[in-house]
Amino acid sequence: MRTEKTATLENEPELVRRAKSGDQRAFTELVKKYESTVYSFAFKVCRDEEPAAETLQDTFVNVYRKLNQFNGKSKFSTWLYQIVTNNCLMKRRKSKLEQQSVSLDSAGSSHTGQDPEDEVHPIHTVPLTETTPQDDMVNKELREHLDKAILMLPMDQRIAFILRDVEGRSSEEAAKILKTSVPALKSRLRRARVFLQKQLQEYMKA
Amino acid sequence: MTMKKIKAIRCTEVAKYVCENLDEQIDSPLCRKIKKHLQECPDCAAQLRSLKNTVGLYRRYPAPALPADCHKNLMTALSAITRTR
Repeated sequence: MRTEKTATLENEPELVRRAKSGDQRAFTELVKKYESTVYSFAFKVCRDEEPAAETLQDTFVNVYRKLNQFNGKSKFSTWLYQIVTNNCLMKRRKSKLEQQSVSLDSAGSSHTGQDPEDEVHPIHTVPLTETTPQDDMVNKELREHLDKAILMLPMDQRIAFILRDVEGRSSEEAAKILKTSVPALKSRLRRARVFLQKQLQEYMKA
Repeated sequence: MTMKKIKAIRCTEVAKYVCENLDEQIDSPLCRKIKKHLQECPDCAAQLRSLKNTVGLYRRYPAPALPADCHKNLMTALSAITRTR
């Protein structure tokens, strides 16, 4: 995890063991440790604060109910991410946003009818934004465009992109969270990257 | 003159490989071939930069901090289920 508090990291297996045995304080410690991480990830997936807050709540309710099923074979954070991811997928299914989603294949090939992977040239690239003291500040218009583009991705590709490229997790861990193979994860990633690149090219050209 | 049988790698192949393995630490014969191609093909190099810039924009997009009421609501919901156990 990139953002979780690290103070109790070495005690995590013990914390999990205590929480599993019914120690409420240990469970609260786990919640406090990971709530920001879960909320941040859920926000990155749904790009909206309200569903992110709902996902946060659903996730920890599920963690509480399923904690006995955690066997310690993977990291607790990996198991937690599997639950958040599942909640994001379920929320997506319930949401009307599903109807607004477009097939990556049709969107990516809309200009030429070619497979997006084969569309290498001519190049309209996404320029590097200037490095300024406000480098972390992405302007409102660009943010809206980034949100719009990522929300058009199918959920499995979106989550693959966020785990691997935004949160910087390894391909192996991202694959484990998505319960898929590394090659399948990389294939989703490739499609997501190409799609987002194309969407941003259009924005930069406009 | 010695003729080396080096099969030229196609730009589409490079694009696919780069798209799948961006930021991966790989040292394979294929990877070295790709790197060489990227040094010699300005179009593919530009494509790679563009891809990195796209990822960079999302990486720099900050997620909001956890709102205080969100934490409070979560703790309330959890107390409710722990009481019923």
